[in-house]
Amino acid sequence: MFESLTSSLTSLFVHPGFVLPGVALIAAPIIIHFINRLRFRRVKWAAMEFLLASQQRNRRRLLIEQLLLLLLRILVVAALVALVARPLVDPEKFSLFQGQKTHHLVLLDDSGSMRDRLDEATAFGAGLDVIRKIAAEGERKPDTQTITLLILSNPAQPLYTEENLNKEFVGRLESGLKGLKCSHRALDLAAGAEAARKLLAELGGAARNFHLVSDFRQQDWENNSALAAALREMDRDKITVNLIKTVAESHANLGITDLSGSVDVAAVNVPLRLSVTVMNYGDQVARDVRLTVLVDGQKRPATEMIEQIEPGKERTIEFDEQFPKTGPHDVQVALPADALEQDNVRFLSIQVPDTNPVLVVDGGSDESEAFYLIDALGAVPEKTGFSPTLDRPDSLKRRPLDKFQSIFLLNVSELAPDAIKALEDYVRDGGGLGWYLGPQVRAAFYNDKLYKDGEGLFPAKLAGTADLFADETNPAPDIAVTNHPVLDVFRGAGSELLNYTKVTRYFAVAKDWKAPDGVRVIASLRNKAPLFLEHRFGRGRVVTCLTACGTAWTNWPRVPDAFVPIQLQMATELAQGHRTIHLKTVGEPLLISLDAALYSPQVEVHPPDGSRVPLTVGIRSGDAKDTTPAPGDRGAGEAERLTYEEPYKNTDEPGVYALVLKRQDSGEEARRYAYNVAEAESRLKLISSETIKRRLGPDVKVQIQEVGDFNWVHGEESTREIHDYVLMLLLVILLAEQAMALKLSYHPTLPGARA
Amino acid sequence: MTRDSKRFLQPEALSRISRLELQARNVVEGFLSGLHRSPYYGQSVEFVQHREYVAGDDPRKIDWKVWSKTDKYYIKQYEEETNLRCTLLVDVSESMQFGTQPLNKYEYGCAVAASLAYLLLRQQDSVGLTSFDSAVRLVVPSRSKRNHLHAVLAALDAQNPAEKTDIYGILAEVADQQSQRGMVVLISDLFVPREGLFKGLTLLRHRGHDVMIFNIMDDEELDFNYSGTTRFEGLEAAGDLVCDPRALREGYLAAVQSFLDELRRHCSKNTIDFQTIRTSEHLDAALAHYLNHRVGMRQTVRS
Repeated sequence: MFESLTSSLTSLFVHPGFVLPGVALIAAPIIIHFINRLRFRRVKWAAMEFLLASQQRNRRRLLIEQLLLLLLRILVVAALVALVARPLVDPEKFSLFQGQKTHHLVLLDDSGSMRDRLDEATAFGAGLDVIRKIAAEGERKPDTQTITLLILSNPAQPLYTEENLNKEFVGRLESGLKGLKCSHRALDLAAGAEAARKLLAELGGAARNFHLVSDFRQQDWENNSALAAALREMDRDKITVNLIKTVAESHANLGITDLSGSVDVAAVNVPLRLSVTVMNYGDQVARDVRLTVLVDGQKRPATEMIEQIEPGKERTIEFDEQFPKTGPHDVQVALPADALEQDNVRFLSIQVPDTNPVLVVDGGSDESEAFYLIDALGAVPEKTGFSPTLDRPDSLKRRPLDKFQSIFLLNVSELAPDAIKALEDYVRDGGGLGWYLGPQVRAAFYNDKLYKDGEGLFPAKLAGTADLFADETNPAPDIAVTNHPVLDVFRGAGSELLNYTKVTRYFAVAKDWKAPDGVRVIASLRNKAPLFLEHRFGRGRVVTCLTACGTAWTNWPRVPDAFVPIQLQMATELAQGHRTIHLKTVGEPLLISLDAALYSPQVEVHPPDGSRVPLTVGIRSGDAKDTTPAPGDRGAGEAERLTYEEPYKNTDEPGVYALVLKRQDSGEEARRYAYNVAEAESRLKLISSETIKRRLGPDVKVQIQEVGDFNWVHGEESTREIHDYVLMLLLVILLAEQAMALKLSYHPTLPGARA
Repeated sequence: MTRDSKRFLQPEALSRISRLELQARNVVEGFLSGLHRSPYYGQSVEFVQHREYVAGDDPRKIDWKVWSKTDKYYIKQYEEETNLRCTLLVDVSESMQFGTQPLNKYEYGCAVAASLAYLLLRQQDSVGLTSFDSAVRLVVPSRSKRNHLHAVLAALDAQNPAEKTDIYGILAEVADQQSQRGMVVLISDLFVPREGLFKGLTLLRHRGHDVMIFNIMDDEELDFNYSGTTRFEGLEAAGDLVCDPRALREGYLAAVQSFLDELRRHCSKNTIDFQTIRTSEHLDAALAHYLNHRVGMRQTVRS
């Protein structure tokens, strides 16, 4: 009997031990009342008549007043007892740990932003603490609570599934949590919530709670209708949704969002221009941001400095870097430490060759056109990084074109069909093609074989040569340029050079030709005829100049200040995309795809932490369409070939991953992949509870737990609410009691009071 | 004069009021010539009227000066001044034993009676005393001799008080005893049935007596400043009551007020002097105030 009473009290009060003595205390005012009635003094009284009359008249009122006062005093005691015993209002609904059988599904956000550093721990550490607390609370009521633990980076596979929360499991959980690491990835909460919803839906039956332990960034919730929908669906499914915050306030954060440069034209000892972009995610201006540059792990003596970055804005600075040796080089740029560490570093892996080979094909008889170009590109290969090779047009079909970074065709009259085919393949696979016309060019052949109504390599349909006559009435320069990297030299102070550059003859485009989408006119002549055209073909790009490169039709080889930079810039531009930069985002699997004819299936992955992971790559009879071929692979095999293929998934750590391959000819080859964190996780701005509620809609019931408040774990969430009400009620009762007592009592005016 | 009987005479009070006079408001009948107007014509210096001589009149009163002018016998009539015959009617019942002040109501009432007796005897009036509770306990007949004061004071000592029941009977008895018109002074708390009281008072007035009431009340009875649970034990078998006096105070004061109002209304209707005196008031002040006030109310000699 007593035990059943105690157990029922346990579900109604936080401190049930205080309840029974409290009930006894309620008798106190009654007893005091009776004691007062018994402890009277006696007065012999003459004017009984009036006293009795008064009593007769007031009897009912007196009784009611006395009872009311007594009731108020009892209520005061009852309220005090309630304050101590803490009743649970509607415990089934509010408390997460009540009821016979409750299932808890905890989804732990381990996205990169959870690495946000709090005072001593990280947001992720705080999240682990929440899980520990939930487990500890569940352990207090053994074998009634079950738990499933999901982490956001792998929502499909729960870490623990429907485990009974008892001592044995809590021990196991503790060691499991110790091994958990926060990922660096950008993850979508919606995917996790959806997975959790499915798991809980399968479960059915008993009381189900969904705990989402996250840092609640605005980034994760804005425009994330799938997440809101999943939570709404859960609410409809009678699942208690409990959102637990682990971060109290947004921290200022700087992040490197980009590190790039024209790595395709990198060459030994040639200064390579790299640009780095730093974004200020905070709401304060960041000043004197010092950037440390590490090349191959060695800190560069000089640091780069950004004077100030406005909040919410990004700044890009450029710096030059030289690499003294050929081979792979890792560039790493680092910011000073702030709240979020992972976006303070960005990696770039660059393959630096001795020089970049360029093929120059001159169709003219005296190769005079090529003379200027070769001079411009490769007079001093150590300075420009280009090593041009001069050849005749018929060599195109014989030479493997792969090894050239770009090919310039000058004044080529005709090409053999297989040469055209080789060129097309080359460009389609990412090669760059620069095209200068000249006196030898035959418009009919170009239109027929190269333009092919827009299908071919050549961008425009030619009409024939035309002369640009001097025009006294038009003082504008011969060439009008647009904003394009190739023509950078004419920008700003360089526009003066345009006045010295003359064009006398050019190839006019056919009258019925209009630049289609994808073909861009980057410079035109005074008479609006197009001069420079740029377009893409496959993965490669083509820049076409409708006049000659030599001095026959223009004078610009004689204006070296304009000519040399344009040719270098053009070579750089054409080279872009030729070399695959292995830039990847953390978490993205590294697909190892190897031609079985060339490589052995035994490979080694060197993650950034310095370890070595040997792998044996499985065989896949591949159609080779989705592989990422290494430069060496190009054109090595045709459709039906044997491929080793396997993704390497453990790429969470940002840094440079090296893939060491063994060639069949017993040589070794290393490919390097730079993994960087996603920019989305750097945005640390928090979303407010109100916004979350607004986003979910008015009738969706979710509980949102603020940071550091663990009352809800002990089911005190609800009592805290009525705690306030009880306090207020107590105040009201006390006031009422005082007012009543004042009214019922008699207060004689003190003799001195009136004076 | 024993010490005991002297306790109601307060020397200070007496010294303060000794210069005052207690005068009958109405005409009183007495033996001696004194301060008070008499319904009879007699020997005095104050001429009133002439009247034709009829046989039997004292020939000494014939005004010979008028005879000499008119040849008719007229006698001169002078206003007779007489002494006052005052009956002090003192309540010595149980309820008078209540008191929270140094003097309880009984003692205060006796002090009032003693002071009045002293005053009256000093001005040659005759004083009688009747003490009563449930019935008349003791009657001291009226005398005007100075040493009559002892008898009056001795009669005030009362033992074993009883409750008052039949106030009308007592007043009627007093009225019967007093064949001559005089003054009746009732000293009591008047905690009696109102009907009998009013009837008795009316009777006294009809007999031509000048009635004066000193309503002695204790401060607590008028203010009721009790607090805390109290058991009130009725002094005249009125029962007990345990109550919180603070709660009943309002109703009690209202009841007392209506009681006093009723008395005052009835008294003024019947030309009865009614005075409520608190036992905390100084006796001399209360009496002086009252007696002075009374002089101002003096009416014409003959009504």
